[in-house]
Amino acid sequence: MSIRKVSSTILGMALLTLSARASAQINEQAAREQASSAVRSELHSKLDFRPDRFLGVQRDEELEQSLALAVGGRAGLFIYKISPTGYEIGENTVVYHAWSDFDVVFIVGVNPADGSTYRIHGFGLDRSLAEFEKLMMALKVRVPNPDQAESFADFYRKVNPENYEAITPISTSLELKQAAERQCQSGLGSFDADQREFTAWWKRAKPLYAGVSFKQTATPLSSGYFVEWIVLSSAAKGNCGGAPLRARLEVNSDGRVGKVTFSPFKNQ
Amino acid sequence: MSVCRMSFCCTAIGVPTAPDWAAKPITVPYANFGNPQSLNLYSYVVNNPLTLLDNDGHDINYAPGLQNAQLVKDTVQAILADPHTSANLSGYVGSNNPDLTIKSGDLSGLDSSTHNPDGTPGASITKGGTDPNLTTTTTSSTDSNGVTTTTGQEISGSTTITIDNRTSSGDTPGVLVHESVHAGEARENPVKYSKDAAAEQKTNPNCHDCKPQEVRANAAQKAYTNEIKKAIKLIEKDRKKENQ
Repeated sequence: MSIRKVSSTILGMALLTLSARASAQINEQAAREQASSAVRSELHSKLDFRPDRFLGVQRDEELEQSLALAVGGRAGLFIYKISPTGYEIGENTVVYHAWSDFDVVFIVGVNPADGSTYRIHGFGLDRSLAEFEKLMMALKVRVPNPDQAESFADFYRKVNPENYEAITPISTSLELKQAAERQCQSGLGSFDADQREFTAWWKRAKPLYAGVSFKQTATPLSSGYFVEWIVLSSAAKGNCGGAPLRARLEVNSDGRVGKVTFSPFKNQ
Repeated sequence: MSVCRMSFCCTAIGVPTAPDWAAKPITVPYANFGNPQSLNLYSYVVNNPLTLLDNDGHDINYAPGLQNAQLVKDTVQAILADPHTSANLSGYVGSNNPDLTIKSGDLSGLDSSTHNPDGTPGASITKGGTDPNLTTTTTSSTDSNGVTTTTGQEISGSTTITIDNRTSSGDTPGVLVHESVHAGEARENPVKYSKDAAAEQKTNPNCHDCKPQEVRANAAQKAYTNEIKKAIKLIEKDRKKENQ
């Protein structure tokens, strides 16, 4: 092969690569459709979701902002919350679609630069967590300081890839009391019976947690940080309020996260 | 020989133990005043069982691939026959009412993680769900003075109950009692049900069982599952005798 032929081949390949890259770039509308299609396909395969059924797609700019804080700059990702429940707005109609027992919200991130899709919530616990990690690796996240580690934990909690029922931080004893009362009231007893059970729970818990700091902390590790905060456990028999637990999330300096672990609160 | 193939509980001698039911509460459901036999709530297909069959539970559909299909059908029959639970499903019965489809599905994607008071992990498995896809249409007429009067309201569409593939046969009746409460409330007033669902999701974003709709469904499940299970046993017993 002549040098001329070789150089024209290389030039052709380079042009092809460039055009492939250019075609992979997508606009917001295409990203929205891509995210919607990912959810529709999931719902179809698992629940035989018909193509004509309503699917609400909302871009979540608050979550995008939270990601920016976590990665320490603009991530360039569109994040969508998608659900078969919600308001369908027509010309002269408003229909609310409700599904009982399905708190079905999917979170999908789409990178408009290369069209890659990340199914980070609602696609099964392990799969969503794996996609969350994949996203963080793709964004080449660095976590250089404790503030950013806490922001990272905040983004993780908002996405909640492992779908924890109670992952929201409890930061004061009042929040603990309110969360426990709500949990006691979701029992199957009457209001008064549940309230009596809660009162007994609070009588035991109040002295245990009085004066205790519920503050979230970020502690350095050799390869990053671990962030700890307090959550309330689920109820148990004879313990309607559950117990405060210390949740711990390890955030590596390259953005990889471990699973959240839970341990009893020290003062218990 | 027992000729009792009716959709719900029968005694061993072939007499239904529960009256036939109607979509809407009326004095004598499915009565034809030209045929006095139709006024007898305890007769089976107007006492002509050899020519008419009422073995399909009227209009409740069972999707292909439904797991524990016979048990599901028996449970529906028991729910319809039980005075405490009948109203939840009776609104789906009859040609003028919306349909109810019961199917199996993979709800594992909706599972959530929990943690026990000692920090050990737990899991909350989604065993069933109800998807009401109902539309309320209001018809109205306008008189010569331009006054518009509502003349009727029709509810169309369908509701689907999905039972998760992992739900055991032991849990199936309880799951159906729970889901039938949702289906019944949605059928009764789709707009209100949807609005309530939206409001309750907003108020209790992280507490599924705190929502009043769930509290009611859980309470019914707790109160009536045992009596539904007893009724299912009678249905099964009766079927066995029929098959002998």
